[in-house]
Amino acid sequence: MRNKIIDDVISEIVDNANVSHEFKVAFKQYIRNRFDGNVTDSDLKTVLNMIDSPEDIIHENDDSFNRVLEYPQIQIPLG
Amino acid sequence: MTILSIEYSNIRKFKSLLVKFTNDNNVPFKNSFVMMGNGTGKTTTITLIKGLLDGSADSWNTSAVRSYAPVNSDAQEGSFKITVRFDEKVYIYVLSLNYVTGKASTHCTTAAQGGLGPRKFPPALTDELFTQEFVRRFIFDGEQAVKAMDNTSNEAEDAIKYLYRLDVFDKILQTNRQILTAIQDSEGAKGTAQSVANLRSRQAKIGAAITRLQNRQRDLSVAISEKKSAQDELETQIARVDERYKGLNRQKIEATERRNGIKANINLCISQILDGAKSPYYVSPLLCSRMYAFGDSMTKLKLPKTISKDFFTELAHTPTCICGRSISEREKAAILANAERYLGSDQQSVLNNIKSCLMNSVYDDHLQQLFDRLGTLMADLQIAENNLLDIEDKLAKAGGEEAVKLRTDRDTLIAQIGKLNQELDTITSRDDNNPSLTEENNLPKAKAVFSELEAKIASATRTNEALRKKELVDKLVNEIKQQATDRLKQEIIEKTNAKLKTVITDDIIEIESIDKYIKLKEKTGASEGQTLSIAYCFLGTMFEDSELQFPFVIDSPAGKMDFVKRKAVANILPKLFNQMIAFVTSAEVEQFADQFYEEANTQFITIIANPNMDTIEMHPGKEYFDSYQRIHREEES
Repeated sequence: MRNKIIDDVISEIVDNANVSHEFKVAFKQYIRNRFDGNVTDSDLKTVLNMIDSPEDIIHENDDSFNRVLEYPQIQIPLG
Repeated sequence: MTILSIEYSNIRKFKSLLVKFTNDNNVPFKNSFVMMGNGTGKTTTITLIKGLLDGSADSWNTSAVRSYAPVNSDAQEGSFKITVRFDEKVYIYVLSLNYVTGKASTHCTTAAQGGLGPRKFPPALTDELFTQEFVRRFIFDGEQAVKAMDNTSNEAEDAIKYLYRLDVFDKILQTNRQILTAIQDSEGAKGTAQSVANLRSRQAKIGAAITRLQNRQRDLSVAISEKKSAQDELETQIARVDERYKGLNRQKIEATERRNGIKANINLCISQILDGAKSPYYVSPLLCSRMYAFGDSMTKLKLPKTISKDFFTELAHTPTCICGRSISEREKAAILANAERYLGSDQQSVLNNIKSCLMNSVYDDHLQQLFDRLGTLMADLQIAENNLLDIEDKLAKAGGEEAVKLRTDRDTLIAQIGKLNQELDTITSRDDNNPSLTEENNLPKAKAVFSELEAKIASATRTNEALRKKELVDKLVNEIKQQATDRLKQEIIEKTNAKLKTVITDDIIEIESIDKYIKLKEKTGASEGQTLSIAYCFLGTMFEDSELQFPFVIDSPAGKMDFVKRKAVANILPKLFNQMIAFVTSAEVEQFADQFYEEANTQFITIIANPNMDTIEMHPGKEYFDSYQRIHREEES
């Protein structure tokens, strides 16, 4: 890994993700190794196996605009 | 990486020539200026260097390979070598050209091991790095510089992607997809075997289409680039013939400049129209009045306030409801409990923003004026094109058979390039409204269908968990890529703007944003000299931040710069690059190459065709370089 900006972004995004510590460490290392041309396909398989359960994979997209559109029963109150 | 030498053997007019970029102690010069007279092969040299380093020469077609054969010789083979040093190790890259079979092949040997092997690079660099996209950012020409400012090109964005190797993230996504496919293939199905088999077969078909389209995209890019080089060569030859007819030639140059100026204005006008259309109320007065009426209705209905949680909370605490009935503790509790069903403050603020935009809809005719201007420019372009064609016809007639043939060949190439570009556009277009685009001829569509099928296969097999894991990694990688790109762009803009202040002192030029191309702050365009200055400062910033050191090899660095900018660029280039090799014409010496005459770590080489024009002579040294340019600068300017 050579560029500091890219390296910092990798750390920030992965560290803030809702995943296990073990996965974070391994995934950051995998990306850095990939930049150095020092990985095999099975390395990513190993990293994927560190994701414990489907609960780790909750979609976190905060799409508030869609939520407004989907909000139920919008009506003008009559008192 | 530093380039130590290049060596030609039996290539066009080069029977045998070694050009060294090192001093007597084998230490590379920081700056090397190689002046090549007209027709000696400046563009050819750049094409050979690119083809060898990125390996694209391996796929050159028979006629391209044979075009390098010497004219007055029966040599059956030729070669071009580049000797480079990575860290302390020397690598020799060899491009072998077989004129009998029409095949080109690239090889590599190291000084320590000897013997030719496959083209390879030191482990720290990886073979993946030396792609066509990467190599053309440090083996550079003016055309590439202009592209960075062209609003129809992705050059600036691509340069960041390839020089900072952000394409590594695309490769991770690709590996991630392959892993999921392998899991799906090995897992049993829970849907009917037939339905899963059908989905797989459709996905395999789309996968094959994606591979076919990607290969075709690559082939088309190579073919377009080769044909453009061939077109450049023909343009040079045409220009040489046209020089005999000075009056007509001057008219042609003026007409070309006029045509190019109109084209640049059309591009600018289109980009302004696209910007303007982002505010839909400019599109028509009717649309604007309807948008305003919509916003006005929202205000009259007190929206979104009347459907907000806050409204009911406030209401619950008043003694009387808006309908006149009194609110007791029972009603209060019911209203507060139900208030949760209505809009929260974040949703209210979105609707308030929409309302405020609608209420601020004020039509003016600037978009209409831009459309009118575009119409006028298109008509002007037609006139300018016809005028140029007319002058070209006259020049062709004046130049006789040779001039006619050169023009016919060039026009054929232009038509071929147009067709290839059209096919490439079909493959890469993201236009959802074009019904002719299908997953069979368009990559984005094929990829979208592939993803849909992937999800269907996952739900029909026991691989849902694997798919979710893949999606988690995809999401993280895409976020990293996006944020890294945004931050890099910000940093590059700041550093490039700081450099621009020192290079362009007679005008205020600042980069506002990089969104596919470089967009200037409060400027509608830049002159050719300014464009080159911006491109150097932009590239220099990126090279500066890279830990991998690369030489900067450039064809005609000063191009059409005026003398003031030449001096400024001459001052800044050595600060940007560790090793610069500039292939210049004699017209580029004054106020540019001559600015390096007193630099200690600089060499000057002059390569010319000997009088009978079938071989090449090389003259090292500043004195010959300077006297040659004084004699020949007029004819090459």
